[in-house]
Amino acid sequence: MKLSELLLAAREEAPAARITVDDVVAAGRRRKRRRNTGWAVAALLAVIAAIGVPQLVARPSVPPVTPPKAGLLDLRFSGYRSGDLRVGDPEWVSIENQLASIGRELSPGVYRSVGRLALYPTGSVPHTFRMDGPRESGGAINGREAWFIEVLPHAVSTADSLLTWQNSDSSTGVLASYENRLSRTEMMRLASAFRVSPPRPARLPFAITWVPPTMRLAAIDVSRPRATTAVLLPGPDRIGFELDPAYEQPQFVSSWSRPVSDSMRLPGDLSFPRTTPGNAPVPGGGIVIGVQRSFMPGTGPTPKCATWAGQRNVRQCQAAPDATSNLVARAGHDVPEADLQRVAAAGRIVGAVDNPGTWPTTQESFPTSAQVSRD
Amino acid sequence: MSDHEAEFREFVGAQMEALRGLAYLTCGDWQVAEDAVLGALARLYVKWGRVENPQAYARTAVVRAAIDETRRPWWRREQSHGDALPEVVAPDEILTIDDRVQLRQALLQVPVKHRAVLVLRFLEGLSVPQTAAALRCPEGTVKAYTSRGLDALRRILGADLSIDERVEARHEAV
Repeated sequence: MKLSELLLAAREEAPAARITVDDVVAAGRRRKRRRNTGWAVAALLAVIAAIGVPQLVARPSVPPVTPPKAGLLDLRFSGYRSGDLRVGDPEWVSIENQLASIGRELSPGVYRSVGRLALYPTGSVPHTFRMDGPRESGGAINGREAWFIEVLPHAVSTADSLLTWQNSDSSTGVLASYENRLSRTEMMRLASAFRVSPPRPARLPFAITWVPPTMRLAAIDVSRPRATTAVLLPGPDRIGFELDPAYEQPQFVSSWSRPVSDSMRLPGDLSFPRTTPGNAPVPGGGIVIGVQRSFMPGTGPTPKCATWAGQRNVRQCQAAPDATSNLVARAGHDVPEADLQRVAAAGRIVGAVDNPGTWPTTQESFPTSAQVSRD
Repeated sequence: MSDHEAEFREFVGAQMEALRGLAYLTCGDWQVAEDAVLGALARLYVKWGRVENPQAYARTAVVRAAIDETRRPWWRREQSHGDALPEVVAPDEILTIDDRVQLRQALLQVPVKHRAVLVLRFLEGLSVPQTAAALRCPEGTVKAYTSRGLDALRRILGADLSIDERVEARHEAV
C-alpha cells in the first residue's frame, strides 16, 4: 500500500463543494475592500498622529501666557496732523475719558492752542462739555452722523463750538473749538482723520508701593514727563464721574513750539508755576499724587505735611524719593494725615526721565488694590 | 470583469477541488477545509498579479489555514448544524477494510502538523525544503515530523505502509 495512492484515495468521495468560484471572488473583493478601508483609516490616523503628537509634545507644561486684558487707563489714540493743525497724544487719561490738545502751527515750529479732542470710551458719557445746546447735523463721519453743538456761555469752558460723533467701536469723540479758532470745515476734517488705535498702556515715571486699600487710581496726567500726576478716588463706588483736569493747556500747546523727541513731539521740561506738581484739583475723599523730576531744597525721604495754599481745606505731604525729585501727596481732611504721609513715603522714581519707554505702566506703578476694573 | 479577475477565476476553477482535498487531509473536516480554502483564496485574490507562483502560494496558504482552523478555539469556531455530517470514526467490524476510510481514520489520529507534512510531501510531492518553506519551519522539523508521522501511521494501520520510492529517495537525500 503506497502512501501517496492512499492519500489520493483518501480525498476522494469528497462531498459537493458548498463554495463556488463566485463565492471565492466575492470573498476576495470583501477582503480587498476591508484592506483598502484599513489603509485609509491608518493613513488618517498617521496624519492625525503626525500633526497632533508634535503639538502635544511641544505643548508647554504651563498654560500659555495670555496677553493682559486692556486696562481702563490704556491709551486709545495717538496724535496726528491735518494740514496746519496738530492733535497731540492723550495728555489726560482717566477712567471716563482721554483728552488731547489741538494746536495750530502759526509759523514753522510755533503753535497756538485752538481746541481739544476728547474720547469717551463706550459706556462713558460726556459731562465736562455742555452738550445740551442747539445741535445741527454736520454730515457723516466714517458712515455715522456727526453733530455740531453750540456751546452756551459757560464759566469754566472756553469752548464755543463742539463736534461730536461716534466711532466704529461705539466710543464717542468730542472736538471742541476755542474762541472760534477752528472752522466747521476744519473740525470735520480733524474728526474724519481721527482713528481709535489698539490700546497701549499709559506709563508713569514713578511707582507707589502703598495707597489706602480703598483708594482707586482714576486718572493720570502725562502731559509733562518731568511733572506727572495721578488721581486716586475713594473706593469703586466713587469711580464713574468725570474729573476735570486743570493743567494749563495753552502753555502745554505752546510747548510744542519747543519740541523734544517722542512720538508726537511731546512737550519736554516745562514749568507750570501754578500747581506743579500734582496738577489737578483734589477730589473729595481722594488723593492727588504729583512727582516732579527736580529736587526741592528742604525735602528728604521723610514726608513733611502742611496745609496747601493752592486749594481750600487741602493739605500736602511732601518728600524726596531721591536726590533728583520730589513727591507731593495732597488730600482733604477726609483723608487721615497718617495715610497721606505713608503715601508720600511710598513713592520711588522708576525709569529714565527722558525715555517714557522705561517707565512702568499704570498697572505696575500702583498696587493691585488700586486698579479699577469694569468687571 | 478585468483580465486579472478572469485569470483568477480560471485558476480557482482549476485548483479548487485539489485545494479542498489538501485542506481536508490536513484538518480532517470538509467544512473546515472549505473555510480554509475560501480564506486562503480570498487572500490570494488581493495579491493576484503580484504572486510569482500562485499554485504554491495557494497550497501553502490552504495548508496553513487548515492547521489554523484546527487550532481555532472552540468559541471562535462556527457551529454548523446543517447538512454537515459528523466525521465520526466508527470501528470497522468488517474484515474487508476500506483503505481509504482506514487511512482517513488513521490520519485523524496523527498530530495535525505531522499530517500536514505527510500530505505536502507524499500527496503534493514537495521536497523537504519546499515543505519547510510552506510550513515556515526548519527542514529538520520537516524530517522529524515525516518520520514520526509515518511511524504513527504504520502503528495505527498495523500494516506495512510503503511509500513512493521517488519521494522516499528525495526524503533520504535531503
